[in-house]
Amino acid sequence: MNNFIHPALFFILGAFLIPALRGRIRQIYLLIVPALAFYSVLSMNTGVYGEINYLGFNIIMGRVDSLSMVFAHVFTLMAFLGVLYGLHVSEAEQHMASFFYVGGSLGVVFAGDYLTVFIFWEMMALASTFLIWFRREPASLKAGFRYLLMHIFGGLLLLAGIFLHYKNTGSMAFELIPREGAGFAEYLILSGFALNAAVFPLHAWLPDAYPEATVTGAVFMCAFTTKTAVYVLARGFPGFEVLAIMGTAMTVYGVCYATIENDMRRILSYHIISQVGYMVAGVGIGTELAVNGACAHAYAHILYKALLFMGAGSVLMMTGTSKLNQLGGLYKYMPLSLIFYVVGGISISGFPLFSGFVSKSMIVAGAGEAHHPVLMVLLLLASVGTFLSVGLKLPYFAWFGKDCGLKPKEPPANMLWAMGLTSFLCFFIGVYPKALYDLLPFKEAAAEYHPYSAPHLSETVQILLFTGLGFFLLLKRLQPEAKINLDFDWFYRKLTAGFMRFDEKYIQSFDSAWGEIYRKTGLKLTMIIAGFFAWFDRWGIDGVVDNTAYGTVWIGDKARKVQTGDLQNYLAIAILIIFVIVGINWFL
Amino acid sequence: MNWVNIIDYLRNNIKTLKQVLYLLMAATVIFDVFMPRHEAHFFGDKIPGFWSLFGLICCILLIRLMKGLSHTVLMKKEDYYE
Repeated sequence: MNNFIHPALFFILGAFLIPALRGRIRQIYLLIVPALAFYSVLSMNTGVYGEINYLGFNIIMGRVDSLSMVFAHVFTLMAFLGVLYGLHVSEAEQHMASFFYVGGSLGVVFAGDYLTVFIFWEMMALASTFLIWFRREPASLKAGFRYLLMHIFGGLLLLAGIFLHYKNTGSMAFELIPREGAGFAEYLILSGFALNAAVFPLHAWLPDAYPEATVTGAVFMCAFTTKTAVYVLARGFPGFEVLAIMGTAMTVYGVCYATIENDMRRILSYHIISQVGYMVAGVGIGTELAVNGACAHAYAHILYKALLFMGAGSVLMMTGTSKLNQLGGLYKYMPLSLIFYVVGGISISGFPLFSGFVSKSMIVAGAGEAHHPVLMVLLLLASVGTFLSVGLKLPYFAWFGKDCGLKPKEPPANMLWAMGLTSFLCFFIGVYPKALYDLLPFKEAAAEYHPYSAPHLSETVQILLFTGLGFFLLLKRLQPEAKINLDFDWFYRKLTAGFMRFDEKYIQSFDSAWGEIYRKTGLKLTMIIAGFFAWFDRWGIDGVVDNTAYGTVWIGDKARKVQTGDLQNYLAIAILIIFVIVGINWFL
Repeated sequence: MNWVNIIDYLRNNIKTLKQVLYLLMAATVIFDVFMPRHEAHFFGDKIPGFWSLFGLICCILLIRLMKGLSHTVLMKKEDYYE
């Protein structure tokens, strides 16, 4: 029965072989690795594998249950699609970075203890940073450093929480945390996880970093970091009210910013925050239906968000820009990319027959059935904004609108294939939701849920159609502008710059003033003290040492005169000394 | 199959396309009036056509409010951080 091969092994060990291979063989190899990992996920049975006792800690590498299975399923599938999309990239190191990245998130998914979680968590952060740096632009370098620092900060929150939790409970096991038992330690762990899930206000790293990543790297990044965070939240913190509220806030916050952004990949990044908000809210509501919804939405979201990033990435790669104000009229040159993008766009908006419809509605229904009408309405408001920005604004200004004069070609065949396959999966899940629902952690709740009910269909179609009407009424107002908008990254970008200025102006000037004082007075003082020590050395220490030496020389000189070489004299002196000793004894 | 021609055909017949969409909107609202309702979680679930109005108003508010906020507070030049 022990047919568990950790799928992360394929990626982490497999990465080392990539630089040794060339050309077509490497391409085939790159596709075989995720395919094997996917197969290993399909063929594994639930249970606990790879349990080791190390330094008194119980390390569990392979906890397989329905929750870890659904995430591993979509992660390995996504890895295959992502590799296919990036197959034309000739740099081995880019493929290696994405393999380590995928390996890291699979490691987290199957981890049964906090130590394993932490190690793979940091591996993800580091590997994904390289996916930003490999774009090799000055802006990417800076953004990559900011991204890494934020994730190190999040990792430290997590680590501090883990240590405190271990001190309190004496256990490293990563299990469901009861709401009543959650103290400071557990909330530290929660914030570490929340940073990776881009929970407001720890979200600003995401729209800061993802638009600067490589075209193919962004496709991986949009899938793994936030969804791994959703997995760990679903594992440890279902039913935490704070997550329900923060998640809903994220959904609205993301769509608000996406409405005013100009860069395609920045718009999509804000929609990751928004969509992950649905999942976080689902986890926070915590009912079987809502947690099922969070998992289903994570599954569907990984596919359509990757598809959207693939479409936007193709435009960026073929035209050299992702700014909407510089694009327009591309439908004549990139019609296939447009169609695939639109499939992603209507999937994320939740059109009937596409994947978002069957997954998002589960969370909304979960909010309704758990009697959170305010959350439910806000989640529906966010879906208005989603269709507005991703489904209408972005494709309109990139592929239609005014003609920008660019005449790009369609992207390479492997990219089109990746987009086509992902589009098919988005459609397939939409028309055959059972395939997705069968994977969900609560099977009975999933079997009872039917997305294609008349009220739900009516509600969705009305919202979508009338959002479209609103878009065309206010089309002029939505004209993209070549500007950026402030977000919470202002605090660490401007405040650190402010600190640097403060440092230059005050700390550094104090430092140089101090140096001046030291040069003027300190040097003289040192010279005086040194002069005293030189005098003391010469007359004090040298005097003692020299006089001792002179004394020794004098005694040696006298003693030399005794040594005449005459035996009679030696005997006389010896006898004299004996007499002296006997005499001394006698008198004492 | 030439996708560009299909898209161009739709663009050339934008008027018909619009009419089809208006018809579709009317049809969804009419469907909502006659649809059997149960399990309302929210007062809006009981009002026919509520979600149409919700979609339209939210969309307009979202654009107006966010563009206003952007132009007054949030928007900066692209080299703001350099």
